Amino acid sequence: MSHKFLLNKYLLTILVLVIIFPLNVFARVTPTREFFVNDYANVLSYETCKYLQESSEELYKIDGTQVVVVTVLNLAGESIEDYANGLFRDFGIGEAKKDNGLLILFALEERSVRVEVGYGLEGLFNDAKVGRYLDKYAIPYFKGNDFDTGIKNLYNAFYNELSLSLDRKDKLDEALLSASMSSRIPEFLFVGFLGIIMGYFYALAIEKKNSLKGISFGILVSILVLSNFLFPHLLNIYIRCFIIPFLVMFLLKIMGFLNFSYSDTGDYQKNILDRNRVARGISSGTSFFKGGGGSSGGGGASRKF
Amino acid sequence: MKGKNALLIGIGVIVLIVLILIVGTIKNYNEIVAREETVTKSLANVDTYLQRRADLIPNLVNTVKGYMSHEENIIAEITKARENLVGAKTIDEKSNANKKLTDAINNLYVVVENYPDLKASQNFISLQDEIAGSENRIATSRKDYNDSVNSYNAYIKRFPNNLVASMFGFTAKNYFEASEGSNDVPQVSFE
Repeated sequence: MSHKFLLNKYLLTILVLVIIFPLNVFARVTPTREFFVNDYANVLSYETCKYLQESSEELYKIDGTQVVVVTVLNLAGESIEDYANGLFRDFGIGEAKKDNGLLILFALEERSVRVEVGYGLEGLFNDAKVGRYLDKYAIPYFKGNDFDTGIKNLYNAFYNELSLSLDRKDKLDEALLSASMSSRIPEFLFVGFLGIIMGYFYALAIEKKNSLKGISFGILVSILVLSNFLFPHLLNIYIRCFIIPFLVMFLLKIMGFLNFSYSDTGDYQKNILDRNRVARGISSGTSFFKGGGGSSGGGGASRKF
Repeated sequence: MKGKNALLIGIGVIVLIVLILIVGTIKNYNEIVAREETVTKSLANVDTYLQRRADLIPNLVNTVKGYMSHEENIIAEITKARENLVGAKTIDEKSNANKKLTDAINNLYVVVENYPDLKASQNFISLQDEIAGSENRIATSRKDYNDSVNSYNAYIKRFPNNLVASMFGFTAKNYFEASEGSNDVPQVSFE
């Protein structure tokens, strides 16, 4: 009986200690499920939160850019620069390779605001520009204690600039791709022609070996399917340009037909359209987001108001 | 024959052990090299940001000269501190020069309080943001550098890594000492 009592005492002590001293020693806040809006200071209206979340989701779907808004009651003794940089890295804002993240941090008690810019966006938003945005779009409202409007305005300034640059980038990518496409048609034709010839002769060569026919067919189809996922767009096109005619000729010869027709242009057109549809983002609804592991080096600007 | 077998087994065991040691050494060595490279890269980052800050100074000097024609002392101090920073080679030198420059800039900001026109000019505000940004980047990159040095030092001091380290001549690296005052980032405050 006393044995059990001792055990309970220890258990109780541990329980009490665990409650008093939380194992998580982060003084900084953690990301909400929505990830892009973290209104711990409760200064944002529901409409603003919804607007910020949807806008950030939209940006994110275009090319992985993450714009995160965090409001806190206080900075728990840290400087706003340290807090912002630490938060930025903890959340992992932006994609790991691109570092295309942006953090708007608002501290209620200290009456401070900071925008921390990820490495990848420093070209678009240099420190002076961020400072100007703060002065123009946020500070006037913050001084009047209208934090909701101030944050929304500030966010919009960055959002607009990002949309513009992403649009430009998208159009540039498309233009480059289509330009290179049309000039590459002779190359595609050549590769296709090569595929036809080689398909015919290969089929001829293994006419007698049935097992080899089956294996070759399997390998070719696998390469075709996998290349869609594994290889970059252009290489993928070349591969398909070759394999499809090869396969066609191969099958025709194997099955005994000798007349053939060749049309391949449908495939890569469809490929481009599919990619665009996915990039524009047709799905929505509250899904779970998290950071892409992006980092920042301390760029940006702060203001006290 | 039994004797021969025993010998062969013995040789086999020795060869096995040697192989394990070699593989282990290679792994250790590569890890040391990887961590050292991280340190080098971090240091390069710090240098980049120090350079960036140094590059902003001439701009600052030009902007304030027009308004503060009688404050040659302060301006000269800044220019000299900048030259020190650009000429600094070792980590200690850089750390000291950085601190001196920060002090000089802070002195300037105190004096600028007497020149409201200058203080309100967009040029000056932008410059302050850029300088504050570069100082923040220096602080962050220094932290990252120190973290990488810590990771490297701790690794090569552990056993058995220290054996491999001394074999190939890897030594502990210096930290970028935090000098007082260099964590003070000049704030733009609104009265």
